[in-house]
Amino acid sequence: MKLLVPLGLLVALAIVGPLVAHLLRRRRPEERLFPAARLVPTAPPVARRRAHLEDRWLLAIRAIAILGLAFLAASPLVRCHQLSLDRRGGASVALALVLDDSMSMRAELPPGARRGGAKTRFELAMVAARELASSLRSGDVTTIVMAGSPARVVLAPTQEAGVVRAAIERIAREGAADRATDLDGAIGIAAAALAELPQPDRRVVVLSDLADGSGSSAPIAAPEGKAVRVETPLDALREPPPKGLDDCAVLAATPDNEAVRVKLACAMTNVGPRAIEIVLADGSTAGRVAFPPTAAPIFELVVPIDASKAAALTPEGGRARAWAKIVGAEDAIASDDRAPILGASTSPAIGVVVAEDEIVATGGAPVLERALSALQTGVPIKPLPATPDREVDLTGFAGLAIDDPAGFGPESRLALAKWVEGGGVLLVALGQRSASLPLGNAFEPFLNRPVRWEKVSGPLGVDKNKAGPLGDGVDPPPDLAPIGRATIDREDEGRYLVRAAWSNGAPLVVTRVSGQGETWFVTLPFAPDVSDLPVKPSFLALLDSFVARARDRGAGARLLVGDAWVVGPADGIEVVQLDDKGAAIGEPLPVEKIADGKRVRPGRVGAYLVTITPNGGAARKDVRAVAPAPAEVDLRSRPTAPSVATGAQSGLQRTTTELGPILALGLVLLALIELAARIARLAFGAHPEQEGAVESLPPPPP
Amino acid sequence: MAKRPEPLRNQIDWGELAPLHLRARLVADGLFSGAHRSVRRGAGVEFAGHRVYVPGDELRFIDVRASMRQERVVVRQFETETERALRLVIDATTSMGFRGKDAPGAKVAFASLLAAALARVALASGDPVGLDWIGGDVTRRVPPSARSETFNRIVDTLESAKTGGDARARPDLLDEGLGVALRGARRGSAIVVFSDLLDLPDEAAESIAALGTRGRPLAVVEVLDPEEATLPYEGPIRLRAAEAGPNDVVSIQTDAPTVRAEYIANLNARATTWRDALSRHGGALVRSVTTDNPISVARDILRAIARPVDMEGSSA
Repeated sequence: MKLLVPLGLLVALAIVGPLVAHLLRRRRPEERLFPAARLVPTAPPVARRRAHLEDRWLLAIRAIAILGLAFLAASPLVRCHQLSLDRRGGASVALALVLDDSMSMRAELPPGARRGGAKTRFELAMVAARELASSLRSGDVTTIVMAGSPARVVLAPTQEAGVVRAAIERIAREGAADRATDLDGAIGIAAAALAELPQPDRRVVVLSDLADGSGSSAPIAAPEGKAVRVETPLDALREPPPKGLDDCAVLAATPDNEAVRVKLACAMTNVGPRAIEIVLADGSTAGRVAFPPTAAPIFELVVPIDASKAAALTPEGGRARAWAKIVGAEDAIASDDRAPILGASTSPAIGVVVAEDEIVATGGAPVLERALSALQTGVPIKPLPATPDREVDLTGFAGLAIDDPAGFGPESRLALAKWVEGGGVLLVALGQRSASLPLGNAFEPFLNRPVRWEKVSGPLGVDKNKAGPLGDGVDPPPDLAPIGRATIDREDEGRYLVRAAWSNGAPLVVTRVSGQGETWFVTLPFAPDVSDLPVKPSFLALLDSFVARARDRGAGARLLVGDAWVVGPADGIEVVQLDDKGAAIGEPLPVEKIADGKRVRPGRVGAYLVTITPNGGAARKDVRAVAPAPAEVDLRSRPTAPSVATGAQSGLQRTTTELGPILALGLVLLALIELAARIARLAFGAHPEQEGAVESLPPPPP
Repeated sequence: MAKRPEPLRNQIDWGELAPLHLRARLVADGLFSGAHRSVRRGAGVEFAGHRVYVPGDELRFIDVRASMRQERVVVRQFETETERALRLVIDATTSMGFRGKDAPGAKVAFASLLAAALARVALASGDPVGLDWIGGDVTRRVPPSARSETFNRIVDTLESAKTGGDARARPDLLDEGLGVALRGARRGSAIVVFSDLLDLPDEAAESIAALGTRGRPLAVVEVLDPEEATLPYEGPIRLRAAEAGPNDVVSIQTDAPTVRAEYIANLNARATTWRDALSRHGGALVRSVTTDNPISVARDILRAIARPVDMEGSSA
């Protein structure tokens, strides 16, 4: 709403008029001639009070009428804006709505940015999406892509406006999730979806706060070569939350003997009086530790607890029994201020398996073990002589790093598969030995096709735009000089997520979720005589990311929101969210069928009961936690490149609705109401005959 | 009856009570057809002395006590031809011009209707009728007369009257009206006073009750408007008195529903005061509201002034 002549609102000062009139009327009620007045007792206080009450409606009508006049005085200056598609020559439009359902969209809007009843960023995005959907015409094609990680298409391109509106309403009902943000991925998917459409006007409208936690990293840009326009029309989404609130989140809470290790992420410099409390199921507090005065973006607090209550921390009977909560002050997002306490009572270790000849070549601990120790993550590093071939040997390991294995024997494959399904994180560096497997060894079920080894003649660079864990906090190496590299089959590549790639697009780091765990493959071995990767900072970044992943999963205890629990096609899985008391919240989460199995992808943080029924086996029930993405606590928006139109620069029209005629009709209606009230009062309330009698009486004698 | 000139008709808010000629006759006919007892009680109503008994006298007229004192049989004598005049007094001060929302007419109009009906009844019985006023403008006194044109004279006078005057501020208005009635009323004359009793001077009750001496039946008819009888207003209100003396409150502010019960109690207490004052002199109070059936009210008035007269000359 915009007032072209705000001075017109000064007319509203006239509201003092009826107020004064009513006050005067309150002091002097209606006077009547009444010969028996001398016999009537007086009651002035009650009379004044009742006069005030009776006149309130009349005062309200008159005040509203004057306010309406004030707006009319500024007319035609009162306008309501809403988004709509502008069209070049009336041509149809191919529209991709990128809706951000990440956790940062749960943040409240400042009062000045609220519109259409929206209080949060996500609700405002939904208001804008509805407005855009209402301006669709025949011939327009619309697709909807969600920007919460992983970016995904929720509505394939369609010309049915009704289907678009229904999809938007469904998304609005589901509300914002607690996912991380994948804006680049969502914009890429949206641009790709529009690329093949015949409409010349193709637009990607991003309804997002652009807060993906990357802060001042590379600005958001339109995809090159896709011939689409990218627009972010809602500047209000990028305004900071009211009161300047930032966010803190509990990432993980793990029991550790007579303490609880709580991992937190905070995007605020002044944490104030915040503290972590360990709250048991019966409502009692088992421990409390205040935040340090200056908190790092991600930090860990150890909360000592009463020894008698240590046994009450671990889940029992399919429910979490203790929670870690941020207390002391509110922040921008409340849903991530608590997490269930899950995981082994002892800190799970990282196992390291390297080839014997590498140990001989280096004359000491292998470089992989040294690097892991050098990270000082606090996680025990345990070298293993060979890949375990019994499941029990893997107990107590959260992660296992294996350098250039010559495949796995049948027992090892079975044990590793079960361990990963249960929550382990496996890192395998593929090398020359991986490409020449002895008889009976293989990488199944992780890789179905053989690994090839190819020699490399010149330096190889890492794609800086797809460096993944290799570029986490460091610059990816532009010129690695390995003597060779491994390649995985296209079929296997399709089953994995390429986290880092060579500059020519070949995969360098791929990951895949399997059950409650993950498998990572690196197509370079970690032996320094084969590759110079171990001497690059990116190597430490890769290992740090791996350890963090293994620790965060807590041997399967926890999942990052947006990730999925995956089982085989013949296995069964049921996931249901739990509340503080262990009761199920709503229906079980939907199970998606994928090419090689089934998966369940929770969108909200909290505790879940995961029931996995292996094919032909007994059901296994575990309480698991879904943790927020650390980057989502950073509510700052990413900058945009000039190729992205923002706010008023976007090609979306602001259609306006003149409120002048509506106000005029409203005023006429108010006047009619008062007239009717007066007529009714004369007909049923006043005494005209008496008033006439008074007038006909002669004046009293002097 | 010929239609009265508009200005005159405006002097009293007659409402549904006009035309007075026809209405008064209807009321009087109702009285005739009902349980009516004439004001004339027949011969022997007025005591005229004693005489010695002679054979043929009715034994019920023998005065035993006088016979014992005089040691001879004496009988009581009565004035069989004594005049039984009806004296009507109407309060026409300003307050009597009041007419509320649900009233058929002003209070003075209702009083006039009753007065005219009573006059017709009395004239039909051959009794003289006179009309006097308390206050009022353009009010002419009609001396007692039993002539045939008296009814028309009374009705014309009633219709041409105007309310006016403030009996609270000018107590002489009451004295003037009552003085004429007192001086002109002979022994045995019935006196009927119509008033709302609201704005009369404080000593009015005793002054009017004094009319009931000397064997004059007296009835004071209280005429109230329905609004005065019930105080039906809602919410806060300011009420202004029609008449006010030097020390009177002219206007009050009140909340009608809150004080309604107390007001009605005050009204009843004031009626009790009047009734007590009148009964001490043999008079009676008849209460009426302008919405009452005038026939019933007139019958009550006749009943009040037709009570037997004792030997001391006062109504029993």
